[in-house]
Amino acid sequence: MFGAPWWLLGVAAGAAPIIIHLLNRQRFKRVTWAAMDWLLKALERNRRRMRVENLVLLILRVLIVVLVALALSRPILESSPAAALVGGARVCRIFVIDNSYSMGVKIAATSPLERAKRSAMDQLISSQGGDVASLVISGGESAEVTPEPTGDVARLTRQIEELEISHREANLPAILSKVLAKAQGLPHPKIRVYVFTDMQRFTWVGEGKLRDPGLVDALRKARGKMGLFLVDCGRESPNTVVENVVVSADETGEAQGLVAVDVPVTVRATLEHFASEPRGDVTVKLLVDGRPEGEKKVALEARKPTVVLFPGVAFQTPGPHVLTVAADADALALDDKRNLAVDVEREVKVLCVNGSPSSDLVSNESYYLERALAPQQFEFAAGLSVFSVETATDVDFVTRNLNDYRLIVMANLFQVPPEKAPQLEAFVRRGGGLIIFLGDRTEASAWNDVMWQGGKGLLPARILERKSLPAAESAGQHFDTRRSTHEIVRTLADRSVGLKYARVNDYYYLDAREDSPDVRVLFRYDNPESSPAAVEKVYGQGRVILISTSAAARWSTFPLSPTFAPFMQELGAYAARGSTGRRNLLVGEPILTMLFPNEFGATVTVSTPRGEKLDHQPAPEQNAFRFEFSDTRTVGVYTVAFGGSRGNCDWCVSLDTRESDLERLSKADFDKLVPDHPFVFVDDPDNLRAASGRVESGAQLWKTLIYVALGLMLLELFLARYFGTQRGIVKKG
Amino acid sequence: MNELQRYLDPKTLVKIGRLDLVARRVVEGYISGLHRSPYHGFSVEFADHREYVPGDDIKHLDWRTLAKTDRYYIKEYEEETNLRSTILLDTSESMKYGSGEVTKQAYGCFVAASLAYMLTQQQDSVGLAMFDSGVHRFVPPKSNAAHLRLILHELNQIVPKAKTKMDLIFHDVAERVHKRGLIVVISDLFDDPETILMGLRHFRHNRHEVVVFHVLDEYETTFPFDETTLFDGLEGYGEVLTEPRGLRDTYLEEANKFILAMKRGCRHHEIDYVQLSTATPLDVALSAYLASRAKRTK
Repeated sequence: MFGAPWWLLGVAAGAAPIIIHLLNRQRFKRVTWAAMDWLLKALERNRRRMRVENLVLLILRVLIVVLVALALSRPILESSPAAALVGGARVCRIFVIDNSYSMGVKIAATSPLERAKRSAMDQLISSQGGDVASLVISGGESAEVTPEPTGDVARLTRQIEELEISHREANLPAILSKVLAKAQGLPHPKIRVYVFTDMQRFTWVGEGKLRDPGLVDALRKARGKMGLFLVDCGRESPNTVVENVVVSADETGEAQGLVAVDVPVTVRATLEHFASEPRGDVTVKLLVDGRPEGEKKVALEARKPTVVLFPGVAFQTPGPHVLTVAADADALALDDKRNLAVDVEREVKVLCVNGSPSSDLVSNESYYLERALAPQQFEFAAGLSVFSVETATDVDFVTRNLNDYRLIVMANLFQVPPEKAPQLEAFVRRGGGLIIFLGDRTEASAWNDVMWQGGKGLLPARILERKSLPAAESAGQHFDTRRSTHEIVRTLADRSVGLKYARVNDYYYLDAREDSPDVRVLFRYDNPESSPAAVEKVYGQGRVILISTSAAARWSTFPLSPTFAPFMQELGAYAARGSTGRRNLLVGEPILTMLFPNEFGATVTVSTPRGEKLDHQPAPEQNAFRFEFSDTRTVGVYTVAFGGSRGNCDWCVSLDTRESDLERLSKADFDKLVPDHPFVFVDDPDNLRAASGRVESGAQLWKTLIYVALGLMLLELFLARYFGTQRGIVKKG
Repeated sequence: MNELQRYLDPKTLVKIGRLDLVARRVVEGYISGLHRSPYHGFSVEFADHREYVPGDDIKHLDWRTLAKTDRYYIKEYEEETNLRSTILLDTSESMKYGSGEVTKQAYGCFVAASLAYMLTQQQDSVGLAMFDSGVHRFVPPKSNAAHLRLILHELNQIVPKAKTKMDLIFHDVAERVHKRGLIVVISDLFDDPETILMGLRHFRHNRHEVVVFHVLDEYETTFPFDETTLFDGLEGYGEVLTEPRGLRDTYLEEANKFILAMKRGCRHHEIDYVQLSTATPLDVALSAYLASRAKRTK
């Protein structure tokens, strides 16, 4: 096989020396000569030697021309002992196969992954005895690398054969950087890295640039040290994805934290059709726990999110439910449906601890809190809430069983009794929510001692000195949410609930350690110090939210403002959900929950979407048990049968849909993105063998031919000189 | 180089054209170089009378006849020579060759004419035999001005042709020249050395002194060709296309072998062998001749 067969025409140039020889014989000088006797005798003596010498020189010259022409035509030796001989050292092949889910798109009964596997196996089969190879799978957070290159071709072939689509997205540049760094350290003299990808844009590019800028440097270092092949296995294909499913109180609302029994909600699905043309008549179905609940026909615009609403969905029974939104199947079936786990509560019990009970509404710390959280209990017709509030004094609080509640709200408490603190910690660690308002009774040092504990306690921030401003309207501070990215603030902003109109005259300075990953400031004051107004801490599976001012109207106008009720609803739902409340996960995120001993039985079984039933025991952790299941590599519903009072619970694992946009990176785009890269771009995996051959054997054979031609040139030079010397043409010495 | 000696250079001589002038220039140039009178020590013998014409030297007047007849007669003498020389000039086709302006034929003629002139001036008798495949012209040796003119005339008439057959020719001439004398052979000797030497031996056998002027062109002794060359052989050899670079060494070996064989053979038979290139000044030939003559007249 020849990489540049047209150069074979150059072999005809091998006739050039012969033609030149013949032409030279035609172009001669005529001399009338007398001493013919001597000439004829000399000729007779020289004839045979000259003929042999001329023939040798002629053959050498013809060979040189032919070899150069052959070298230019890039001959490729197929797998053979001769190829091995020419190719020299054994080859170490590293196959980097992108098995992210975009590689699973079915086009003409095959997928990019299937094509990649076939091509990789073909390369493996063509390897020589003594060659080694390794496999890197790129669909996932980290590259799964066969530890060391192995010569066990059969095992590697089997691994490639069994390779399946990962439900994760791939950050190919990052993986490739790692692979190249590792390849640099390999002792093999000839290394070939084959990258099989569908050239999906997102796999390579994020925010307009290479997802791992380090790849440029890695490629620069790899240049000349190894052969790099970028094999494009993908094809352009339209794709529809169900991007998101949320449950909201109304048609415009954001995700609702908690859903109440018999309270109708709207299921809001967002679909997007990634294509240049729109897609009409797409059937979108809603299923609740697998039962059809609704169906809509929609037309999807090209590259524009389309919201499909299923209003009036009510749940009759409390407990975990699974919603499924499914669109008509297309080439990439995996992202055509999406699940949402919903916790339906009959009620969420809230304990409101009032540290300063008072008949004076302005001074009563829990008055506005109770009404904001559970308006229906106080005959407000403002709407239904899932919360039911019980109020206790700080004295009552000591005797309450905290496990009866999902959320505790403390308002102007002098301090948390030290003997109650461990229970409170256990409550939060297990997943409970705790909201703390401060006030004039707050004893900062006691709070810090018991609850801050140098940052190890429940308190999200250390309470510093109190700041009191004059009651005059102009003197107060306001909440500043402009720089906040917290989901509560975002949700409120989306619902047009502004916090900035509330005026705060008294508050505490908080020392929030934002360098800790568990601590986040929700929003701040607009004072010169920009001091924190609300700080959150994730503690165990629960959350603690500290508000630096009071819930009573003495310190601020916030409880009186119309934003207070929705704020408390959102904040309460957010806190009550805890960090374990996240039963909707992305692929790869662990299923995580805290359990009390009575909540699980002898065996805890996880049923995976792959059909497996796996026993997985919780591990003890600080008066409770931690259940963590990490193998969530497959999209779908994971049902955990705890066996105790917790019963069965579903977790929905969904795709990171960024991978669903099958827009491809063209070679020109890639060249622009990674300028001067050393990749050999192979536009079809079926062409890899030829392209590889060009570099693998062809290049070596080319070099070999050039070396031989150079050798022959030197030999020709030497022989011509030697023959010349023998004939007296070249002066000796 | 003074004016006279300049005429010893063959390139200059070839421009003169007329052989009588060439011969005179050569000999006078050569003699002036020697500073020796050419007219010293020779006697003459009365041959005939002729009428006096103004300008004749009165010392040659035959006073006795004047007294008897009252008419002026000049006594003409036949020079008494003590040397008879015969010049054998090769006029075969191979002598036509010349890499420059001077062909071997021209050069041979210069040598022959110069020798004839000098011999005549020295009152020696000189004959001429011109040969190719046979002796096509033979002028018996005599010593007078008319004879010299005849020889020069003959030399002017040469048209080189045919192949050399030296052994037969030398035997032929040897049969014709009975009186012992000096045989001067001017030729490129393109023939078998053994055959040539056999012919020359015949002269020696007849007690002749023999001088062989082996005239070769410079190219024939250097073979300076580089390009592919078609050698068109004279004397009917045909054409040979070859790469001369590859042949040069062997060619020169062959040439040297031939020359060496000739030299050895000549030395063996006490024959003077003088190799002349067409670029060689003519005094070399004259000196060689005088040396041989000196041997002869001892």
